[in-house]
Amino acid sequence: MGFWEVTLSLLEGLEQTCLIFALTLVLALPLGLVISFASMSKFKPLAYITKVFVWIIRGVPLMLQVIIVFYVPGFLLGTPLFSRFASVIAAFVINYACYFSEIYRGGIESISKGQYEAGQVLGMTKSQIFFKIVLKQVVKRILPPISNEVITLVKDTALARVIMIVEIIQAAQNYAAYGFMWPLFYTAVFYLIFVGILTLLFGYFEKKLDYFKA
Amino acid sequence: MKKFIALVLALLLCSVSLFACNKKDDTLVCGVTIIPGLNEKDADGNWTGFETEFAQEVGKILGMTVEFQEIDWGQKYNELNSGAIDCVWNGFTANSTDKDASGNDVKRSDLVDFSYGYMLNQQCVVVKKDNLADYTSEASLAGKTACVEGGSAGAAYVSGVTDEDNVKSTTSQINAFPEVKSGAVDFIVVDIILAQNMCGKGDYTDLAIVEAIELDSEIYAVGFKKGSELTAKVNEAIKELEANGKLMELAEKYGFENVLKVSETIE
Repeated sequence: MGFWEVTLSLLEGLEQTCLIFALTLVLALPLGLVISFASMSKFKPLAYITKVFVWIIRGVPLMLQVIIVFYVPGFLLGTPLFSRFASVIAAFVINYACYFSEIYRGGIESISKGQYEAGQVLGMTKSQIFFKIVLKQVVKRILPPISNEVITLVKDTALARVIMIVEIIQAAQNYAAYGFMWPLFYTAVFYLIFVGILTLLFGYFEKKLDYFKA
Repeated sequence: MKKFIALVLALLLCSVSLFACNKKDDTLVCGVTIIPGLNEKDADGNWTGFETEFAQEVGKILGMTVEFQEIDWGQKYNELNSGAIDCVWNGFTANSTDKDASGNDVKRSDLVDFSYGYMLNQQCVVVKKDNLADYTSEASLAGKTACVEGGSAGAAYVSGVTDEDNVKSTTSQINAFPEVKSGAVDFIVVDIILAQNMCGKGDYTDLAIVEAIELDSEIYAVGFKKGSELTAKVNEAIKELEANGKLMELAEKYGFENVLKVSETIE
């Protein structure tokens, strides 16, 4: 049970971890924006339904959501609707989109009315104002809370092992069957490097957005 | 804005259809956990072990492709009932009980359909080597702290020999070993087939089986969803493999010839 052999098999697990991380981000970041629009909608029933939905998703443990998405269709139909991996992605995307939506909402509502009025005076359309004026300032303001969520997501990927996606923790856990505990502790190094890179990346983004002196 | 929302929804729909699951009728998906000797992976990542080859031989007779899916042992009934796996073929003790939602004992044979039994197992007590001298009989377990797999045959046993407050449950037998090694508990009760493979190896060189305490024997069988038509087919195949000596051949290959025993009743 050499060090390299373990490292290689943990790296295989890390591949799954990265895949869950990347797919969740790519899908949840835009979906979160849609949900935040719905929760701020002037059409009140839509806003209320969205708020209840966000309450349910944020109020139930993510691990339970993963279990529900994978097993419940199987209980009803006799065979699972989605693969294990798809179930994990579905649960993660919906969960994280709800958290992101509240961050977006806070950011969007923090932009003063004057900015919209200035846009109208300049003859811009509603969507021009949103994407060209508001969103750019929102991005700068919400970067720190988003980076919090993104870093949490790195570690939440470990929940996928409840339906046996062999991510890095599960890859290490498999060595426990042979009496080896150290691979499990060794995974901490991988997480620390992963989060370290993200921290540097977000620091760089914040500097890049420095030109908005809002 | 509308274009943006449409784009996001289209993206989500695409990803859902990409991942849709389609299971074939001619595959037998076996739910397993890694147990050295029974189900494990070799250096190339291929499944080996007694249970693995046994399942593959049965698959050959039935004309089915056998796949192995790692499961969380605590989710085995969910995995079966949702159809995510076809059977649990992984040292599944048939004549044991599990707790239901209100904490009452339920026979495992009431929860799933079992095939014929094929292997004898026993629970055993594992302690630190240094403390081995303190454990001479069942009476010496009284007042000691213990760790067992929740819902296992070992759990039923310890509740009779030591106080309930002294017993800690884990999600798998494998996770009980670090408990006793780290000194968190005094002893653990696990399958003897597993203990023989774990004690004295890797990080567990300081653990040993207490030979002085002998527990009742159990029998392993394959578990299917209630009402599954696979049970009868697999039973026939097991009989065939017993008759042509193939099963004994496999048991000898992995060192289980002394515990191999095909029996039509599992009680």
